Amino acid sequence: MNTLPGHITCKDISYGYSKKSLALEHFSHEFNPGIILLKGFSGCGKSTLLRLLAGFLKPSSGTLNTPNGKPYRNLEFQRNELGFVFQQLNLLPLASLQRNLEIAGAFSGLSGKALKACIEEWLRTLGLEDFNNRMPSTLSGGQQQRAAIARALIKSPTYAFFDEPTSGLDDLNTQVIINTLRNFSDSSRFIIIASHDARLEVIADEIIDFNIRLPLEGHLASLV
Amino acid sequence: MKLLILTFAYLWKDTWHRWFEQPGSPFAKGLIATILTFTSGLIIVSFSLQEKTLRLRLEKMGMNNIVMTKLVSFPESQNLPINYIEGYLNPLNEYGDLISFTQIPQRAKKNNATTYTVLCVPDQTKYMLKDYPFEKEAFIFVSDVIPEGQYVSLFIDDLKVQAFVCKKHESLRALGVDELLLIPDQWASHFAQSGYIKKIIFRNNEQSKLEAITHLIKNICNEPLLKNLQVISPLHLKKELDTLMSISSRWKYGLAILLSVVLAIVSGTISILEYRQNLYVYALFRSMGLSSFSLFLRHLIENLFIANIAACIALLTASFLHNLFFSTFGFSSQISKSIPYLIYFNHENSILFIAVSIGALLGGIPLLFGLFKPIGKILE
Repeated sequence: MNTLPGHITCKDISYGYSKKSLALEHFSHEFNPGIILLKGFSGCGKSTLLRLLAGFLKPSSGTLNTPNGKPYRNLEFQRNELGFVFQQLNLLPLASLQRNLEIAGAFSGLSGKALKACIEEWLRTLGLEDFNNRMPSTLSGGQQQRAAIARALIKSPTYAFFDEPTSGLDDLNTQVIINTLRNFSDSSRFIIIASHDARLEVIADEIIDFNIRLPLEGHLASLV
Repeated sequence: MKLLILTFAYLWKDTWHRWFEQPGSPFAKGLIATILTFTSGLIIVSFSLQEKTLRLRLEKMGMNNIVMTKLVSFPESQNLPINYIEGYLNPLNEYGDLISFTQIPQRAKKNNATTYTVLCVPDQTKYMLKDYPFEKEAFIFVSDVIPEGQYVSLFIDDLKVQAFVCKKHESLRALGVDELLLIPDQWASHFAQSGYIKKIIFRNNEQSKLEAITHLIKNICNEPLLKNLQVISPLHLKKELDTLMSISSRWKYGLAILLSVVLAIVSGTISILEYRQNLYVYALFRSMGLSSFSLFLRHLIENLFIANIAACIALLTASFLHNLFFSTFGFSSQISKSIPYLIYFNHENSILFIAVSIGALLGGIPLLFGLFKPIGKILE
């Protein structure tokens, strides 16, 4: 299967955390650069799809390609081209905010003044310049969320994936994140967001609605 | 380089944090390694000291000397001529020289209550020890400690004698006694009535015939009056040394394998227990693009560090307790006190460091399986 230049292609990919049930079933799509929002109810497979796209999981079946090849266990891809924000944020707990950004930047080959300048820029952009020496556990939820985004974007990745980046955030924090993502987006970057937060729809170039793909939502609605 | 430093610094901090949070894990790994290395170290060193003792005896005895010892008790001591044993051993003169002594039961005493072996010297032996001034001095005190040429006062029972100090003659080294008093043979009839020990050194001039000579001595020993003649030949010592070295080698490798296996099991079990804790941080780094191999390497270094530090502590402790242990086990002070640090940190014990390192490396294997678990299954 050939991947068109500047495209991520998924063909008939499935994945299951256990053999009994599949979290993602026969998903096919061609992603174009831009902001893509994966929306849907909990458990519909949007987070699984993000992890598959990042190469953190290997599809049980089907094929998944980025323009630079298959992402799974592709360390170069993960170091240089991928920025990922997990739902649980997963900042390095024993490193200050500044050190978290330094480590992430160093992985992509940034060093010296360039790295320092990038860190300063992202801390300023996300309103974190006063917290650079703070440990993650001492930051509020919104600050941690913005810190995780800064860590993902410091290397200016071509592929930036966000798993529920605004869950539980107030409108102000959400607006900061929306503005950041909007400014970061350009014609060559793939910004894929998995979220059920409707506030993010305004910046999406494309919305993939998992609720339409799966009839389960109707079943959930009947339970309410 | 920056990445390497930052990653190393973070993982090191994480390791310290983990050790302080759950000190039981590194402590258990270290304690097991310490106890096993300590025990193995002592066993290996005890073999090494036994070997050294034998080598020293062999060296003292000389490769061309055979020492024969016979206790002659009452009434044989009165009924048989004092030189009856030499009579049986005459055929040996064909191959070399016989130097005989009669050790009397009394010991010579100094003022400070130190006692010394007393040997009566027959005329033919005087001829062999011609460096000693027997024609001028009746009593000769053989010592490598007291400067030669002076006199020392000694008592044999109530008899006070002035003995002239001489250095130890090469032939006397085979007796394995540090200091002794030589007295005229005539005294034997007075002191040796209740019994004596005949000590005979056979100085072999034809080393190539050592086996034949040993065989001849064995035949002579079949004489009823020579029953219980104890023969110490270099061949016998050499054989003893070879047997000891073979046993020592088996023990050494056996202990090393045991050490590796036990440590691998303990480290492996602890690694499985630490699995979840390590896996989260490792998955975070893997998500940023660090290879699983680097992380596995880091884990191995941690295991190696603990195991080798523990082994060092064990051997240092053993070297501090060395004298206590080995004087209790009856090793001579000269042997047991010979630079303990070097004994414990020599090539013999390097096998223990290799063993703990292998154990530590094998103990890291369970984590290897965890490092291939997809990141997406660990991080949410």
